Amino acid sequence: MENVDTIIGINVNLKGSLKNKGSIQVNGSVEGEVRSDENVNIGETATVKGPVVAKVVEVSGVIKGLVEAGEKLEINPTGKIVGDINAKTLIIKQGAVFVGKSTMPDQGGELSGEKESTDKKPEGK
Amino acid sequence: MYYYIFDVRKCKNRRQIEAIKDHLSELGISGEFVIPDKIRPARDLAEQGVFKGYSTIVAIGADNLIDEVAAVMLDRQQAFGIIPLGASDNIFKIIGAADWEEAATNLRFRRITESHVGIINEQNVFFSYCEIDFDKSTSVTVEFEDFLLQAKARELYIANRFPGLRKKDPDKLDVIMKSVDPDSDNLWGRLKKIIVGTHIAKDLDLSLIRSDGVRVFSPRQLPILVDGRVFAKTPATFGISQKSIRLITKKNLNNQ
Repeated sequence: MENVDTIIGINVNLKGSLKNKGSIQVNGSVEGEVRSDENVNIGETATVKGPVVAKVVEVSGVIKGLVEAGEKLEINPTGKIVGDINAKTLIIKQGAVFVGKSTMPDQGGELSGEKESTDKKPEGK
Repeated sequence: MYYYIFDVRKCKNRRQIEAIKDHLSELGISGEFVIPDKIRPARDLAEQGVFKGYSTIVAIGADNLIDEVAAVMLDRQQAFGIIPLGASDNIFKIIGAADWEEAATNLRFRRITESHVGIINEQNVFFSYCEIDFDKSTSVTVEFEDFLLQAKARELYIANRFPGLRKKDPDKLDVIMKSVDPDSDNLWGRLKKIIVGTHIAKDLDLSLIRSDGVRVFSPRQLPILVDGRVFAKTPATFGISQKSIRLITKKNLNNQ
């Protein structure tokens, strides 16, 4: 709890825009934007309907919306993203679900980094 | 010069009252002692002490006395000292003293820490934290500047200083909530407990949000407690003081 600035607990519904300089841990449900200058961790029990923007985003729950990670996006085996993603480094673990378009900012955006994925990608970058 | 607002009812016996006075004399920080009562409440006495020109106003007593005097000490040049008697552990931590004797010694060294306090409904001040009194888990809505939180909760604290939690930002309140499964009271919820169990990984039901202001609503009025006393009822607005108090704490205390 000490390392995280904001925690949204299980069985909690948040409506609106959650913006924070420090790290955010989501275990409940969010309808709106989640934005941090540091890390955002979407826990296994979490559902986010809206954009998620942070330096590092780790997903073990569900995101329906755009995900932008300035440094790294990691989708864990229980994680699911339905929406476009933009990340400098992308890790999709076996069992994870990603439905959307992927771009990498350092690779010239959509032109060179564009990927389409539908389901259960094996571990890779 | 020191001005002591002394809630003598918090002393175990007459001997302790004398022991405290003697100890302060030995430390060379004796002063005027006043005792609050219904006619002259602590708030009035504190204003009187400030008016008389004392450099240090000291509350000797429990959390309620401390909160009352703290309300007067906001944005004052005078220092605010505390000798906790029958106070919560949190107050001892805030000033960095293990007992009243150590608190008295702190007064002598006058190490000042600029401190903020929490405010309920722009009236009542709380130094440490307040608690929504849930007799059973209840749906609550907590409104922040940019978002709303809705949950069935069984514990909700709005804290200026919460025991065991390091205060990250002195200008913000810590809102701490423990939520429950919204189905926990109905038949499906009870069946679910039997079928799938109710195990929730440690701390998953905890929420923590830091904010400079918050409003709490509930379908029925819930008491808001500070140190066991009802301060207000929901709906209520909580904020943090823009002004600060010049609080006397232990030397090298770092609990901000």
